[in-house]
Amino acid sequence: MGHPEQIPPEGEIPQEGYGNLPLRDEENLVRRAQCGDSEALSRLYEAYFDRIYRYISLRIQNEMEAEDITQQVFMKMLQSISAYKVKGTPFSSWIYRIAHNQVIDFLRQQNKKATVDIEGLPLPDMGEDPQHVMEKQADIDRLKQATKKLTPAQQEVLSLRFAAELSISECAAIMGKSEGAIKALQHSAVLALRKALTTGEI
Amino acid sequence: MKRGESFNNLLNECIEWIMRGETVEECLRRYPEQAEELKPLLQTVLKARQASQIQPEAGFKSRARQEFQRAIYEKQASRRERAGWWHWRWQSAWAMAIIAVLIVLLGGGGAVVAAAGSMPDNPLYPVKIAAEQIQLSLTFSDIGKAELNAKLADERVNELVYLAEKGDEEKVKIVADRLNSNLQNIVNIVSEINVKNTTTQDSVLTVQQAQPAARSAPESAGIITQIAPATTAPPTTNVPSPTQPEISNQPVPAASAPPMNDDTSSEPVLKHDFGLKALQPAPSVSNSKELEELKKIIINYVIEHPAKLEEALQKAPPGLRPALREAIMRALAEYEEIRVNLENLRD
Repeated sequence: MGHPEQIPPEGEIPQEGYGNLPLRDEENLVRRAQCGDSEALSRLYEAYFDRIYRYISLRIQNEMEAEDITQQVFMKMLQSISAYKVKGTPFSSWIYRIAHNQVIDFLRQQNKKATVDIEGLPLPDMGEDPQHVMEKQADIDRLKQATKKLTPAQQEVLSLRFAAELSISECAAIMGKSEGAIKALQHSAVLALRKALTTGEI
Repeated sequence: MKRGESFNNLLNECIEWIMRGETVEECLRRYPEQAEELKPLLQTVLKARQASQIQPEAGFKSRARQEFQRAIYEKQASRRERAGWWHWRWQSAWAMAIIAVLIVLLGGGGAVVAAAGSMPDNPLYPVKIAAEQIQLSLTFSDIGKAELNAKLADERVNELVYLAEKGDEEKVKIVADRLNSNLQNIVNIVSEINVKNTTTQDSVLTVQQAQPAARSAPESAGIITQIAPATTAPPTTNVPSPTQPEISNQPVPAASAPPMNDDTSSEPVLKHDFGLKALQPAPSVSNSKELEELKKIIINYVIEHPAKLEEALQKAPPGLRPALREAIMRALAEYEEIRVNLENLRD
């Protein structure tokens, strides 16, 4: 799941990594964005916005902070996209690297004092039945609380895999580890999450 | 390979399947020998996956998009100052014109004409899509681009109606994606026009007192089922400044519009209203003929498109209805976004 740099061939439905946009050629889009093409920039923004927000939201417990950091990521993308090398790291890895760095900076500034804003957490889908929305919200709260028990690296891999929907290789590029190390980390993170969710510590 | 490494690979493979929508049980059937060990882990993965689908709040998305458009505009403005915008534009226009001429000279012109009315199951359809892309590239004004995207959205709706009769789900999804893309382009362009107007006003206006103004549109992304008349407010107050990006988080004054009465008996009956009355072109809203024309086109399509798609939905075979319903929901959400952005447009 999650290979935004792989462009689906003509006629196929983009299944993943593109938001809602039928992006045919992300590389071409990035090149146009580097030339200042506003439409290309907007399409990249739309393609990544929700997933970047989800990734940050799972790492940062406070909704307002998560929103601010999401905006900062895209402002940084705009500032530095001309320096991005198309033939180097995949664009998805590059933009998540920005998000990762922003999150790390924030957590450092907070001196590991995580803030919790349960009441202000975003709802999963405003169009649904209120009862269903509340149940989903409770699931999100439980997950967020449970992930706090995990190590930073475990939190990171879960956010990248399940919220941002990135592949193992993309996670490896962002976290600066081998694919084998990411798989091992994923295993330990799922185990730790299961323990946190089932021991009633939350 | 060590046992731990092997199990990590196996777990990862199962996670990939779950991420693609497979159930835990289906995954376990693939690996019956490891099922006992895998089951609790995959159940946790499924929970984590489902709970991770957090959606940003609609109001935040709208504000963030507007700030991003503002930042793009400011960046472009500084680029133009440095490099000379007209030189680039002249080159770009000629490059695209040459490409278009080459297509005609190389015999593609006839194909382009023949492809104009083709439907997605026609072999000439890709030519039609390519010609549309060239047309978009050769359109430089913001309003022109928005108009063209609106007309292309109309094409997409006609194609969806056609595909609904044919019962082709895969093509319905592809065309629905294209429709959504056209509508998102309109949202972005109108938002950009808004930012340009605001920034231009900033350079003209000096100190002005901010006046209270209510934003008439709801910020949720849901389907709009109520008429949302815009609050009358002078259009030149509470103007965001390029040096004060935070101000865009404040309420944006809605365009002036006369109060509307509730007599809609002479209008077509619609399930989704979109606050159409607030979109009615009014002389006080804009002095730009192009903008008024764009609003007229959008109003027309806001009425026509949902009606056409809902009619197609009623006639479509049951298997196709979920895809069509999703296409309608996405289009309605985008039209609502367009409506809000058009309402916020000021001269």
